Amino acid sequence: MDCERCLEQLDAYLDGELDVLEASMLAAHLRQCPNCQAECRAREWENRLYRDMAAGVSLPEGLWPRIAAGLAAVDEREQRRSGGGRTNWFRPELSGWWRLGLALGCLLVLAVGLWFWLRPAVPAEPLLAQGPTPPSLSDTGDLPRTLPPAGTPSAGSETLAPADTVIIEPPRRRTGMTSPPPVRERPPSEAEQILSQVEQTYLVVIERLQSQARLRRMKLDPATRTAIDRTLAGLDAQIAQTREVVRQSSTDPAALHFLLTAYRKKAELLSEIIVMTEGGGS
Amino acid sequence: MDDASLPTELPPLPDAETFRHWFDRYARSVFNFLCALVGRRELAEELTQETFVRAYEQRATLRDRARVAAWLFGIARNVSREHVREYARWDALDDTFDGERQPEPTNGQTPDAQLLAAELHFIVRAALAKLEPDKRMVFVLRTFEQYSYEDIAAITGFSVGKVKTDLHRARLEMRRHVRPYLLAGHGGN
Repeated sequence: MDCERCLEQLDAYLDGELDVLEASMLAAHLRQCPNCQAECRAREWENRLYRDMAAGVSLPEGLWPRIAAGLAAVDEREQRRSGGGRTNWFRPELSGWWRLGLALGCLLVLAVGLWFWLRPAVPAEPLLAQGPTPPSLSDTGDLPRTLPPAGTPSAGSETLAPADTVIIEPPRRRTGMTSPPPVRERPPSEAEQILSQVEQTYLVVIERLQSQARLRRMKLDPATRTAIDRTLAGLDAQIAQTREVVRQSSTDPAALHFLLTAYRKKAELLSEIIVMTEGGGS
Repeated sequence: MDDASLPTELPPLPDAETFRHWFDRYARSVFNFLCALVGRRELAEELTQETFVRAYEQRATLRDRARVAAWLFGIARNVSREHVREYARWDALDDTFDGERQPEPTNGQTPDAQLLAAELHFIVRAALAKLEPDKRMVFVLRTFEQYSYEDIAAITGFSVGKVKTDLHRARLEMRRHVRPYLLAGHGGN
């Protein structure tokens, strides 16, 4: 082995990473080459220097207690997750009244959803409610002409010209259901009644959850509290906005869906606060 | 679905007590490693804490408890990488290698050997700071923590070939800075 090869492999030799044959050849060279021996000693010294420096480093004090607190927080999170997560709704330790309320609310949402699913969208009412229809619609003789159902007050339609009473009515599955008259002072439609019921249920549930959550929110850490407050504020804004849209167009399925979804989300979030603070609070 | 047919012999996850044991055994090395990677003692302290907490969160990913050190170092590397944009280069070389152990120049009475050691430590720190992050990591794992090339490859995710190349280059660079002090201060003894 020549010096060049020896110096090339010297680090690996000192690291113990050479195979037996290479190591023995290099050792043989070192025995007879003073220059390579000197280089070997210098590298050994360097390695010792680095080792000693590393050994001289001490851990900062109080590190373990902080880590232990972190591990405990992880344990707590995992416990919460395994004990509930999405199934928190039906945890046995939760009191039953609001759980039932939420279940009822969900059922009502489902019912409304199904009702809107089965009932095709009805553009006629908004068209009439918004005033005179375009002349072209009334002029087309091939369009089906349907008068408002007998017995329903149609004060608004009386103020319109006869042509304006033409309603473009898509086929309906429910013949028994009367179309709401296109005036503001009309009796609430079935959809509006259901909406009102669902809304009331949600409002009651949310109010009760909110009173519970208000008592418990201080148990949350500040970051979580801030995040939750922000989300709640967003949901409130969403509810207010969607409510306004629903008020203007009470049969708009999309608006109803958004409104009920916002209520549901708020109820879920509030109950999540209660679930999160359940363990730590007791 | 028969529960009996499911594999149920999963080993229990390491608990906090086990982590306490691992902390006693490896925390200093992890801290040292992070010091060398990020160059700031306070930051390395935070990252060490983060490493152990994250390791605890991810303890299900530990397949072989015999390789817990490599696993911890791998997590430490990931944790440090997340801070790499912020601390790409050492902007402060102070107290990286434990200022409390450096010689105190009280009344100018510090022995020459201590002064020399302090100066050497400074030189090493400065030289380490100049290394590229990959090379620095490989160099620290080998020369400070005495890991084998294969272990370093496992920790860093590099190939053994890259480990060897980076280590060789890192050593050349370090030598270029440190060797003059070795020759001047110790005369090669």
